[in-house]
Amino acid sequence: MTSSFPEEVLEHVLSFLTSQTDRNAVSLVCKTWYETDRWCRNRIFVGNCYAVNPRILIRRFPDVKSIELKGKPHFADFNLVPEGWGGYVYPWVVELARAYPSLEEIRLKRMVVTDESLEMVAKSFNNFKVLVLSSCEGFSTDGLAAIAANCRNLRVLDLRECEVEDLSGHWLSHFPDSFTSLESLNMACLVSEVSFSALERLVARSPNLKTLKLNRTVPLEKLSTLLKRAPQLVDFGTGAYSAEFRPDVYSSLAGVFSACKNLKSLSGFWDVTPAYLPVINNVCSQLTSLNLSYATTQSPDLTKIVSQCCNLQRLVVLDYIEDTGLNTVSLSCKDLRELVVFPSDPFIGDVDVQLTEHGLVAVSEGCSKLHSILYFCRQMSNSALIQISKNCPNLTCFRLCIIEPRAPDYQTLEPLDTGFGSIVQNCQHLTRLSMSGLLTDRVFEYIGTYAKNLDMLSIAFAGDSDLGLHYVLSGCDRLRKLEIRDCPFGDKALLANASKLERMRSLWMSSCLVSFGACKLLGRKMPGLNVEVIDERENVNSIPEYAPVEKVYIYRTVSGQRFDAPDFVRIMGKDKDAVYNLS
Amino acid sequence: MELELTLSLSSSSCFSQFDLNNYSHGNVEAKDNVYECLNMQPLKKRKYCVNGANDVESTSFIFMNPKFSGQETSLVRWPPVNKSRKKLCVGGTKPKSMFVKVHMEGDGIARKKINLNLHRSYRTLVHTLANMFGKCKEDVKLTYQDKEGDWLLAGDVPWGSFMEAVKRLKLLKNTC
Repeated sequence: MTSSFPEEVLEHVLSFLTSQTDRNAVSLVCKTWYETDRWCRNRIFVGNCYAVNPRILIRRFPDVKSIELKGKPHFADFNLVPEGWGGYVYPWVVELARAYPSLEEIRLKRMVVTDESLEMVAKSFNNFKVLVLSSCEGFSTDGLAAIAANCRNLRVLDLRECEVEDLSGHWLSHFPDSFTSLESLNMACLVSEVSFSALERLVARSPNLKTLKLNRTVPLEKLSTLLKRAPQLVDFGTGAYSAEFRPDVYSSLAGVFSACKNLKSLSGFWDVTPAYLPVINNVCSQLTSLNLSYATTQSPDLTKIVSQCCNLQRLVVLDYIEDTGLNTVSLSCKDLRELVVFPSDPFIGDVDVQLTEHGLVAVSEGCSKLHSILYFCRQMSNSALIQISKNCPNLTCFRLCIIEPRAPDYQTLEPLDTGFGSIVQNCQHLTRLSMSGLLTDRVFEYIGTYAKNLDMLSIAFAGDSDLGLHYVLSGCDRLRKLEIRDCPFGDKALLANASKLERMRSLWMSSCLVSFGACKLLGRKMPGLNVEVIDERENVNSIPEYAPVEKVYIYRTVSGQRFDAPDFVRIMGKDKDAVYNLS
Repeated sequence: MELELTLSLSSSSCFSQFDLNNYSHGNVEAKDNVYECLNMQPLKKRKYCVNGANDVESTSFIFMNPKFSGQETSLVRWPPVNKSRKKLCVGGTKPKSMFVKVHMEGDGIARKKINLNLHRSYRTLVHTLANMFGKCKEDVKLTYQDKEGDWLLAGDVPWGSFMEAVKRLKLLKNTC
C-alpha cells in the first residue's frame, strides 16, 4: 500500500488512540503503521510480565513515558499462588532505568517490589510523577522514604492493598518542604502511625491534592484539621472512624465536610462509631462513590447514609446492610452502576445477617444503569438469577459468590445452571463472570454458546467432566483469562483445545485433574506457551505421568521460559538450559 | 510408561481420541506409585460410584484426587476474600472443629470421624460421608443420635438445630 500520507499526519491521528487494544490493532495494519505506532506509543500495558521481557519491549518502543505491569495471576489474591512464585519487578526497573530516563509513570499489580527497586525508581527518573502499586508486596517503608525524598515532581503515590513491611511512619517526613506537586496520596494499607504534623504540613502545601486516603492510625478527632487544609479534595478516605461522641468534634467535622464542595468519593470508616456517620449527610448528595466495606455497623446506620446518596454510582458495603438496606438503595440510588457486597463473616456457617438474593434482585430492579456486581451471599435461586438477568441486560461484570461450595438453588435444590445460563443469554455485553453454587456441565454449555463477549471467567467447585471445560474453551471466542479451582476437569479438554491457549492471556487450574504427563506434552508441543506446574507437595520433578498436578498455570509468551522460578515450579517441556531467542 | 496422546491443533477437534482408558489403571504398580506420591492409603478394591459415572472413570477420579479418596473435603482458601478483608473477620478465619464419630451400617466396628464445622448443609455432609465410605449418596440414608440418645433421620430439622443436637452419625443402606 503506497501511502501519500505524511508520517506526521499519521502520528497525529494515532495520538488520539489511547486504548491499548486500538493501538495494538493499528500496529497490525501495515509496516508503516507499525513503525509509526512504535515510535510514538508512549503508554505501555503489559498484562503478564512473563509474556514479554524488558529487552523486547525496549527494542520495539524507544520512547516510553508510562508503563503498567501485572505479575501474579488473580488467584494470588486468595493465597493460591505460593510465596516465591515470581513476579519480580527489579529486572524490569534495571532495564527501564537504562532505556527510559524520562519515564514518568509506573503502575504495578501483583508484583514483588523490593526496596532496592523503589530506590532505583527514585534515583533513575528525574521527572517521575506517578507510582501506583496494587496488591504488591516485598517492600518496606524504607522504600517509600526513598520515593518521598527523591521524586521532586511526584504527583501520585497510591498503595492499594499492598503488603508493606511497616517499619515506621517516618517515611512521610521525607517529603521535602519544597515538595508541592502532590495530587494523590493513598496510604490506607499502611499500619504505622505517621507524624501528624508532617502530614498536615504536606497537605497544606499541596494545592493540587485531589485524593487523600489515610490509614487507620489517623484518629477521627484530627480529621477536621486535615480537611480544613484541603477543602478541594475530591476523593477522601478517613482513618479509624471511632471516638467517644463529643458535640464539638461532631459539629467541627460536619462543618469541614460541608465545605468540601468537590468531594465525590468517600472511603475508610474503620471501626465506625455510628453517631459520627451523619457528619457526612451534607455531602451525601454529591457522592458518586462510597466505600463502607470497613464500616462494621448495623443496617439502620448504613441505610440512613445510602438513602441520601441520590447520585451514587458506586457502592461498596458489607452484608450488614441486609436486604432492607439494599431495598433502600434500589429506591434512592437511581444512578447506581456498580454494587459490591462483601461478607462480614465468610468463615462462619450461619450468621444473623439478613442478606439474601432478595437484596440483589431489588437493586437490579430499581437501578437500571447497574452494570457491575460483586455479591457474596449464602443462598441463591435460579428464579432470582433469571430476574436479575432480565432487569440488567447491560451487565458487563457479574461475580456471585455463594459462600457454601456447590450450594444448589435453595428453593428447588436444583443446580444453578439455568440461572447462570439466563445471565449469559440476556447479558450480551458480559465481559467478566464469576460463578459459584451447584453447577453441572450444562452451565458451561450455555456459556460456550452465549457468552461470546466473555473476557474473564472464574470457576470453582463446578462441572462434572471435561465436557464442561471443552464447551468454554471452544465456545468463548473472546476469552482471555480463565481461572479454575477444584473442578473435575482433566487432560482431554485441555489438550483438544491447545491452540486456544495461545489466543488467551492465561489459564489457571488448581485442584483439578490435569495430569503431569499432559502438562509435559503441552509444554513440548506448544513453544508459544509456558506451562508451569506448581506443586509443593512432592518433588515437582518426580511426579508420575498420570498423577494430577496440584496447580498448573499456562500463559502465552514471546519471551520463552523464565529463569527466576523457585524449585516447586517446573516449566514443562522446555530445556532448562536452552535460551530461547524468539525475536 | 509413555502416554500415547496425539495433539490436534484445529479448534473443532474431536476429543474422543483422548480416552481416559489410555491411562493404564489396570497397572497395579502404577497405582502404588500414585499412593506414594500422594501420601494416600491404598483403597480396598471395590466398585466406586461417583455421581453415577462408570467404573473406570470414577476409579481414576478417586485414585487421583485426594479429595475424593475418603478424606474430608477441606475448604482451603475459600471463600475468595483477600488478606485485608480476612483481617476484618469477627469470627476468625479458621472454622472451629467439631468432630463426631460416623459409622457405616455393615462395616463392622470401623468408625471414622468427621469435622461437622466444615459443612453447612445436609447435602454436602451426605456427599462427603458417602465418599468416605465409597458409596453413592443415593444409596445411603443419614441418621444421627441426639443429646437424648435417640436416633433420628437427618434432614428434618434446620441445620442449626441439627448441629446443636448431634452427637454421633450413622449411615444406613438405602433399601427403597
